[in-house]
Amino acid sequence: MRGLMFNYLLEYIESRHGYGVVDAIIEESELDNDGSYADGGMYKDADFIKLIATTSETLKIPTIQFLESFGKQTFSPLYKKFMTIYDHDVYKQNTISSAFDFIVMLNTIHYKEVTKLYPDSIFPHFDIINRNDSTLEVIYRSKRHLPFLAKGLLEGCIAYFDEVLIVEIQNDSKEKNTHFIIRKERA
Amino acid sequence: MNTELALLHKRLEREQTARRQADTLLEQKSLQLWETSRQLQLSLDEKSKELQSLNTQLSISLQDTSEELDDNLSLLNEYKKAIDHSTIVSMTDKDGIIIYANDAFCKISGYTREELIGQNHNIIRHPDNPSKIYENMWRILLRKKPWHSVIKNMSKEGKSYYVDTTITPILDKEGKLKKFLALRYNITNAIEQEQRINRQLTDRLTGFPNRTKLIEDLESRKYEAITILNIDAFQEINDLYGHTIGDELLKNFTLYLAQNLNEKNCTLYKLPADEFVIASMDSLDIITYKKAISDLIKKFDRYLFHINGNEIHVSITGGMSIRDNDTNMFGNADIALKKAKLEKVPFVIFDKTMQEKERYANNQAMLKSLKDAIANDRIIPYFQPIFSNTTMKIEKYETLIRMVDDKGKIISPFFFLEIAKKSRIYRQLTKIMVEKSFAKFKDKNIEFSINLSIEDIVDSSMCTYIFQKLESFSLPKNIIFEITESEGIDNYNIIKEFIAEVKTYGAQIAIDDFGSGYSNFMHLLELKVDYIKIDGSIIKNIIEDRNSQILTKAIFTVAKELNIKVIAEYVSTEAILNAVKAIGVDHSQGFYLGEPLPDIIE
Repeated sequence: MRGLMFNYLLEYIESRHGYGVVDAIIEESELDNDGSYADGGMYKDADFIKLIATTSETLKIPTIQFLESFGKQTFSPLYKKFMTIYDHDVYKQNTISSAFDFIVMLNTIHYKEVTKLYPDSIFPHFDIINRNDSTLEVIYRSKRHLPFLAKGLLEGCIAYFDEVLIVEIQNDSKEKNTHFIIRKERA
Repeated sequence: MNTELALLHKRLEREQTARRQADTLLEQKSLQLWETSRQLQLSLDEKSKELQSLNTQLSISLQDTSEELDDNLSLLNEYKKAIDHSTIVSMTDKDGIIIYANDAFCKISGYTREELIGQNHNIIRHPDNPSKIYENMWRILLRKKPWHSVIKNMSKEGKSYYVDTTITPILDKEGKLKKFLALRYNITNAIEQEQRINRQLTDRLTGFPNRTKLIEDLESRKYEAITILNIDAFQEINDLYGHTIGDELLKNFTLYLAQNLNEKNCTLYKLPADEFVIASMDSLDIITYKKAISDLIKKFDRYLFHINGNEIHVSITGGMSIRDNDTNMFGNADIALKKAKLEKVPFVIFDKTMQEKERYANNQAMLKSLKDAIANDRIIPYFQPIFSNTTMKIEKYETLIRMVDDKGKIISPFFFLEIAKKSRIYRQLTKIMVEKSFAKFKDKNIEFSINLSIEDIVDSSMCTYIFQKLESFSLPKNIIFEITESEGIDNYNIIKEFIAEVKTYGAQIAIDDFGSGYSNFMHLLELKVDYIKIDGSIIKNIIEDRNSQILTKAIFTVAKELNIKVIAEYVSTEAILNAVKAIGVDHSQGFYLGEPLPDIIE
């Protein structure tokens, strides 16, 4: 997992509970490098999972809820960080004006360009299986299998584009791939 | 406080560690960038080298190509020079607008290059050419095929010239029409030569092959048979209607002949005047050919030519000759034609017995004998007695011409008179006869007749001569001029004038051979003659042919009404004599009563 995500996670906890809680969670998690992360570095996925588990336990918040909430908050800073990529000349014709537009773009632009920056990255995949005006169906697959973080990020994306959409997981979240349906709220 | 400080310390340590990690990462990225840059440079150098080498190769090959092009260009220029020197060259765009013209083209067309460039190529088109030629040309050219033809063009001054022309379409890389290149050779001289030859072999009036062509063809082709056709009495048609209509008739006649000549293997020739030849190729059998000619001649009996409002009937006579070993087909056909005319039949096929006459072959020899005879005073009169049918006594003599040949043989006029009429000698013969007859009867009170032809009467110098002779003759009332009318008298005014003049001297007039030609009773009324001599061909048949009897009676009846005396000639038997006597005919002559003799019976 990229150091950036570790730092976002620690900053998220600190912003709500102070550095004391962050320190306690770091200590409790018995991490390899004692919670020191450079944004561009690569760190063990297991440490990220440990941090999530420890946080959930320490703060008495269910893991699912925490990951969703963290993901939702993290979309906006991530998007802003990589904005220059989306504005690149090559992609100018693909105007991104909605959450659907962005999600559809993920596989084609985001991964292609970010891989140039970080050749050792491991990215999740968002495969589009159906799109119409009101519904988008996406299959999420990732080696790390963090469907609820993904759900939170999708919700963050919806919020960023100031839309009202519901994200639902259609299948058992323990399955290898996760089937998301993103749609307009039923009247 | 200590806790807080310891926490801050820990945080700083963590952040320091993270920064160090970040530094390391940066260092790594920097190294990666340097490496990437180095790789890029290397590959750039390599590409640059490759480009340089490519450039060098291109330069070399360009140099080679350029040299080759120079060579080709100078070769092309040599070709162009050679072609320009010998050929008329022009080039047009795909719409036919001239974009190039060489000196030869300018010279022959009479236009300057500036006048030609930008003009449509049809500027030199000759109006004589049918537009079909050009339609055909464009059809071929637009199919991107070369077009070749001999064509007539017209220069700026309106002069015609002939060019052997090849037009080649020039295509661009995509195979689309781009230009047309025209190469021409001036063949005007050759064409004109050919036309001159053709003119020499073609009848001017009708455009059909002429006599020269016939003679040429008779030498080179194996014609199985030829027929000479002659329009009967064409001279009279010409005299009556004038030459313009005569010519028009000949043209129409030729076309009618050609149209009605059903046999494809026949060739029609137009000879001078009113003669035509129909020659048959060997593939046509003789029976079919004879029938074709016979049918053709019959067709004219029922056909009227309409020329300038005149309805003209034409009858024709033909003489046919069929191929035989080493025969002169044309000469033989001519003999057959003469025979057909003489016998007044539509057509005669030559056979060898006709050659017996040999008049035609011997024309020149006969003329020479005649000249000799005149020079040596061997033209003499013979005298045949004419009897009165009531008294049966000699009342007068007809003087008849004879020639004594160099062996002393007496030659009948049958063999020389027609030949003489075609030459100036004839006039001398008439004069000799007048001279000698007048001399013979100068001191005798006996009537005698002298034969005159139409040719004599229309000859004003001959008339003057006769009138002078009459002037000096003591008993002109004894003289009877017999005017032969078998040729057909077509200018009655001249004859009427002659008769009137003769009568002022007291001399008399007889119409000879009456009933054989075209003369009729109406004309007789006008001519105021003293005698009618019924044609021998009627008299000699009077016993067996009822028509001859009726005709003789009719002539006699009319003659009596007009107070004209009637003479029967060819009275060769007693029966004939009795027959003419019974009708009431006034006079008779013939072998039964007395043949012509060198002197009179006194």
